[in-house]
Amino acid sequence: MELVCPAGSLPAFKAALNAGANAIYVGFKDDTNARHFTGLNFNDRQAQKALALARDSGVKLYVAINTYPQPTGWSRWQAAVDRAVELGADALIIADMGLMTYVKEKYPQQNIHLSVQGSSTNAASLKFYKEEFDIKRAVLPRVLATKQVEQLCEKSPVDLEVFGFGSLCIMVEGRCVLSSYITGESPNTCGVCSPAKHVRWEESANSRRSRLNNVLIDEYQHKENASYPTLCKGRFKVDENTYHALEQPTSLSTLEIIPQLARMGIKAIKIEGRQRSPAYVEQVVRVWREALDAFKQNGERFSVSPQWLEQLDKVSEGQQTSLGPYSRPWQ
Amino acid sequence: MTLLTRSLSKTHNLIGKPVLARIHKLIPFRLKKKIIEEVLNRAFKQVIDDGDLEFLKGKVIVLNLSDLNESIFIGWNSSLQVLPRGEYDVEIRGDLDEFVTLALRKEDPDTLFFQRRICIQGDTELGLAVKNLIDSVDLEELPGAIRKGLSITETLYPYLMPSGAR
Repeated sequence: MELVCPAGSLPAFKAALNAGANAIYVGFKDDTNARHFTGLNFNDRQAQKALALARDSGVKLYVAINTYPQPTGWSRWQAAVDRAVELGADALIIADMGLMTYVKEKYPQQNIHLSVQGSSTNAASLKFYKEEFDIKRAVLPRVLATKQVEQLCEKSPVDLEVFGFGSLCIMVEGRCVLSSYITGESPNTCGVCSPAKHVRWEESANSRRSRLNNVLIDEYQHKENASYPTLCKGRFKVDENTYHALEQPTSLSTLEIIPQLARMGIKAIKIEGRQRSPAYVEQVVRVWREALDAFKQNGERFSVSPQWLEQLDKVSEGQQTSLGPYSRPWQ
Repeated sequence: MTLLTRSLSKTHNLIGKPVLARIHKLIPFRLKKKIIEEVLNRAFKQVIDDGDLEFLKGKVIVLNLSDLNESIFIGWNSSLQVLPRGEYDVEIRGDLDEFVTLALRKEDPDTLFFQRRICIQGDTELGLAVKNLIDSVDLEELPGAIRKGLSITETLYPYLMPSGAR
């Protein structure tokens, strides 16, 4: 299985290379990708350098252009495609059908991967994307149970990629506009679900409060771990109880089901986190490289090392990991 | 943890840091300003050349080293500048050890933030942009003197801050 790793900067790209990535995905410095933050992502010089490094090590480079073009910015999305093709990206990760049409008409040879933001969860949908846009691979959203992924693998006309590690979303990945309720922005439209300009942290002697566009999202007591200030991960008062009414801050980790995923025929495992630092990329990719190598060596006798879990828990949001939807009994 | 590590770490906390806190109070502001500006502008040369620091224009960032009781005010006007105390847009606060941990890329900044080891107050977008810019600096391409400084710190790191990677 191919290990697909995130890079939000050149040092993170190098960290992923050194730690054993098979493919690395990046974005440009604008709202054409779903991690649109100031100072993050690649300009053309950095992208070319990344490509040269990738070629030297036989690693693939993917470019994420995975937000939905807005009426005023179509030319920006076209330009991102033009730049990525000119760069020589091995695949473009795209969610929007209009943009896929643009790629197919102008660059018929260019590989397209369907982004997780496309939220394709059934065989009919995958078949549609294959027939209309000749996608080579689809990234499945983190909403499917293991059994459902298995059934999709049997019927899918394209290669499938699943998430192996990273912050977990509420269960409508790729279709979520919850944050726009407070901020007017959402991942698909503007590339972020808690736009930093709307985030305020308030520190006092006993607590830390997070606010999103002035709405109180959470209050952390002394020494209590904080999490990303997204609406879905806040604690809210429902009747008389205050709790994570929508979603608990937690990270997905699928180390323990590596053998199952391989058996099903999953072709690639994706690590989330282009917004995270080179240190995170290094630590997470190294663990996953070791795990995949151990599986290759031991096959069905593969077992998860406690050190791997300790490493991953440390960098996890909420400092806990779970199998998320994979563990659900849905069929 | 070996006895050596334990005693070095203890010395660092009981003697090293208080002494450091005293020494830096004795250094005149103008000299400190000169040294810090020199290091910053060299370290961020590529980022500056790429024009990626323009967003800092008119903004003031404060690095608050809480255990040393020291705040460094930083601004941008064609180059990075250390400014006298005054109003600011965002404050990034933590103990010296946390900043060293970040400079050496031993830990992920988000992890330290989740664990409440660093705090960001004020203009979050500005703070996040600063974090991303620091992450984008390629340590391998830093000038020799700065690389050397980092490499010495890296050698001492496990002895002075055994709890760094909590």
